[in-house]
Amino acid sequence: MRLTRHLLFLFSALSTTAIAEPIVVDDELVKLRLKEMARPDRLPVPVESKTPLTGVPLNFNLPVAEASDSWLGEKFSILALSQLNRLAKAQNEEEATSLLAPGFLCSEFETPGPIHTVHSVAVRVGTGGKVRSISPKILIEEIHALGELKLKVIGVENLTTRVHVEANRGDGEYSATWLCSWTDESPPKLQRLEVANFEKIRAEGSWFQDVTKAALEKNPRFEAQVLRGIGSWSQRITRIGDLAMTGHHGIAVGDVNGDGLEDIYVCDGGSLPNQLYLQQADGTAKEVASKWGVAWLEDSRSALLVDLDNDGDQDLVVATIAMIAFAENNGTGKFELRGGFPGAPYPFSLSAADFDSDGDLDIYTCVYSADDDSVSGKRGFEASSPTPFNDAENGGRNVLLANLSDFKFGDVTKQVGMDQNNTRWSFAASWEDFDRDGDPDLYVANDFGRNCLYRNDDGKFVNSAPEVGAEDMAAGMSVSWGDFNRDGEADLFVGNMFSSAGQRVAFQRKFSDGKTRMARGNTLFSANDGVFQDHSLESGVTNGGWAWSSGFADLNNDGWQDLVVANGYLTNTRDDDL
Amino acid sequence: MSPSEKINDYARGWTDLMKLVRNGHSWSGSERNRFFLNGRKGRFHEMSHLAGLDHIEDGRGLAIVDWDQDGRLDLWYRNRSGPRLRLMLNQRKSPPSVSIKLEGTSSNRDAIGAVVELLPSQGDKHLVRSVKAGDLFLSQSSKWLHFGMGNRQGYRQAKVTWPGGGKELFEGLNGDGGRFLLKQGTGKATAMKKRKTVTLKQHPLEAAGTKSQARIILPARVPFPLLTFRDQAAKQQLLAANGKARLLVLWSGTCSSCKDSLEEFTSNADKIRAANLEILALAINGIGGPAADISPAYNLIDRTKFPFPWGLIDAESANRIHKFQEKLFDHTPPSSVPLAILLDPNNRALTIYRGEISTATILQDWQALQNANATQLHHFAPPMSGTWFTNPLSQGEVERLFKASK
Repeated sequence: MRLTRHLLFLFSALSTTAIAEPIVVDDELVKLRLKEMARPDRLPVPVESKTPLTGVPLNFNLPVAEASDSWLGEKFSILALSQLNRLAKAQNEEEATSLLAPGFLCSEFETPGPIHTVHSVAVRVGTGGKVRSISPKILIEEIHALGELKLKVIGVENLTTRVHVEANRGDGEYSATWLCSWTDESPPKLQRLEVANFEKIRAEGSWFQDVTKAALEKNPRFEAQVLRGIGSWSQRITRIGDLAMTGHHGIAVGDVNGDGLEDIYVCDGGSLPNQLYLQQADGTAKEVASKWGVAWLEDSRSALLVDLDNDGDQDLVVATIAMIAFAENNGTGKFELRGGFPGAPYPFSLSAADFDSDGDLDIYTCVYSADDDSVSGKRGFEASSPTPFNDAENGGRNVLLANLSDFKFGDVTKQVGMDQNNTRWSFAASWEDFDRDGDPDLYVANDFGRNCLYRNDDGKFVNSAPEVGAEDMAAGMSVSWGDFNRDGEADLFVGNMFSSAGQRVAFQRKFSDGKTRMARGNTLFSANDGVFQDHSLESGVTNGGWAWSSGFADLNNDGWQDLVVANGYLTNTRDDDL
Repeated sequence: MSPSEKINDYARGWTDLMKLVRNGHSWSGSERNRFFLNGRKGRFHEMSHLAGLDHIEDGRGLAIVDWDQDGRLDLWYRNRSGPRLRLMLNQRKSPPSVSIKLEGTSSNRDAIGAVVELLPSQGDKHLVRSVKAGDLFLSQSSKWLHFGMGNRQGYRQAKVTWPGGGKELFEGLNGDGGRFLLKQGTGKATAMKKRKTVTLKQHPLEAAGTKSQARIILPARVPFPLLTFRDQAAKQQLLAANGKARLLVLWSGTCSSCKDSLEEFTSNADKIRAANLEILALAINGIGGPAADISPAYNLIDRTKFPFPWGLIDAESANRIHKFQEKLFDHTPPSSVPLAILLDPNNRALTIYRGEISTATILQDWQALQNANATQLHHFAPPMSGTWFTNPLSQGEVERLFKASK
């Protein structure tokens, strides 16, 4: 929609009279007779292939032309996973026996090891024990004792699958890597199960409580805008209305009415109004976006609540599909749209800092892709393919907007040196004075390739990521700075995609070096004199799933930064997952 | 394959992937959100379930904030799938914390960029935090800095490096935690008033299910594809603009809500005609070709004494209607009946009704939409009130994008 969207505002002409008179649309849909309509039953999707695997060499050196549906490793992985899931759920000995090869061997599920206690949380890390033969009955008993298993195949090598296992029950939590070897038949039978490593955690007492309902249910649109997912709206709101099923909509915290309580501004998809929730004295939150003049319907990605004019109240910046919109808090319960910057189409995360140390806040905007047309449905990587996949430089152009006072902003990206490496697929950015020289530096997480660390030298920037070891060539989604090891330096956590399918495929031989990291997951960098060391694997934080917001927070007040990750790409109506 | 073919093949891969998702597949879906506990020895331990932070909806944004000001960090999740918001309140029995809000005077007022280190009375590991506005993904967390104190008491001083580089030492943190305001140039921390305890009830929250029933007002007059059908006299006809507004209804002789719909239209025939609206009801019973059993359609028409034109739609035309929806929506549900589309006299679609719909609603929509201009349609379409600050697409652009296909 970028090319065809007409702004009522132009950035320099900050006219407020040009706003179209909003037409009030009836909030209440006419009460409809809600009878389920007849529709053909959805057929279950066949998962198991009947193609016999016997005799097929599984060396994965297939010609590229066959790389669509004929990946033997993928087919095998689906079959093996289905068998393993059946075993995990097996109710009796007979069922288990049918899934095991004669002479089945299994390592002991754990070797006794030391327990490490962190603030009343007991952690035991170890490997499996000795390999033994085991009766199917005992096997399923031992598996059931772990809890309900969630299994993902993260690697395939010949007839062995590497499986990530998660289980939780009551006060305990289990995660492990199992190596499962299979017979060469269809469906395959389990020949050997070896626990490569495991982690068991026990903790007592409750920690987080879900109070969403109590906090929000009194708002009239609770059902429509809180309980209903984007998947429901993307079947009902058109692309002309800018509703995309990917659901990239963020949240900002700030005290907008100066009552000392934090409030939130919540972005939403095209044709769904953004929301402003004011916290009440009792901790509930009241939705007031219309009253405050910010129930905007433009597809909105992210927002910031910051004081742009240093007058003591929180102003609002929203990255919408049409423009980066700037609204002034007038101090009497209303935001006034002061203008917008249309030169950042398809924006994602925003981050503010005073890069030139002139006393006011400047805004950095990530722009993901270069060519988008929301009406045809082509957005992001459908509109233009990231090329090459692991080091793409055909993404959007990020923009640094300098605050010129009185809600005027200027694009200074080029002048300050930030147009270096500025055609990547950027999802997120965060400022931090990592070299502690008094001015903020900026880390930018890019999908499909290298990240940037723009070091600020008196208002001019140099991309120093290669030099300090922080490029993290992967699928970057999120940035968080924090001192996780308490040495005083700012360390860095980069949220990345962990995809089990990606893991399986990226390690096969036809993929060249340099791509294996693409689906590895999160990266934890520890800073040492301004140089970053990759601490991801030994710290155990890579598997955050398909991670989006991922960041440091000390959630148990022990002074040490923990990590929280919000993940998951697209959950849809069908159970099978890509 | 030539290099350009390879690139095209690669590009098609992306499109195909999204096509699978549009057809209902998941792509790294139903993943549990994660929480990793810092084990202090360079290792983190995943304990998402024990912490109560393992919800499976598709997460996107995450804001970290001590919402209830009890000295523990709470979390607001912003999700793609429902529930799209979750407020997770931290109830862990924890050591106290120090919360600090900075106010710049020569620096920016929010003190974004300031770095604060708490200084204990005796040697300890560093405790450093900085003020940020916008990090993680699409998110902004609280500007209050949070310092968990662990087993250590006695943090009484804070060293602040203001944006721009000026350093200032603040006294007056009381040693056992609390909330403090540090104003640039004062060197003195001010304790903030304590808030009344917040009690919010815990309650499990489920996403609302997707209803197949939908009333969709389109944001523009969208050119509708030309269709062919057999009319009630079994004559081949073309559905094209004929200068009359129509409600096109797709139905089946074997579906009970279709029967209800046809009965409802029959009993409201006068009202519908008075509103200058015609109905064309096309049964899908003939889609299977000549071999299909079309008697249920005839039977239902006879039983309801349906007074409007009707006929049988062919497979290709039904498919065109599905394709029309696929072009409009990022995600189109499987075709089903009853399905109704309100067409203006120039054969442009104004609304789509999936499932049963009352005549009153249709007439009300027709009343509102028949003379609506582009701006009005733009404002009528959203399912909830709000404001646009952008103009709608012009009709010309809509025509270009949705050229009626033969």
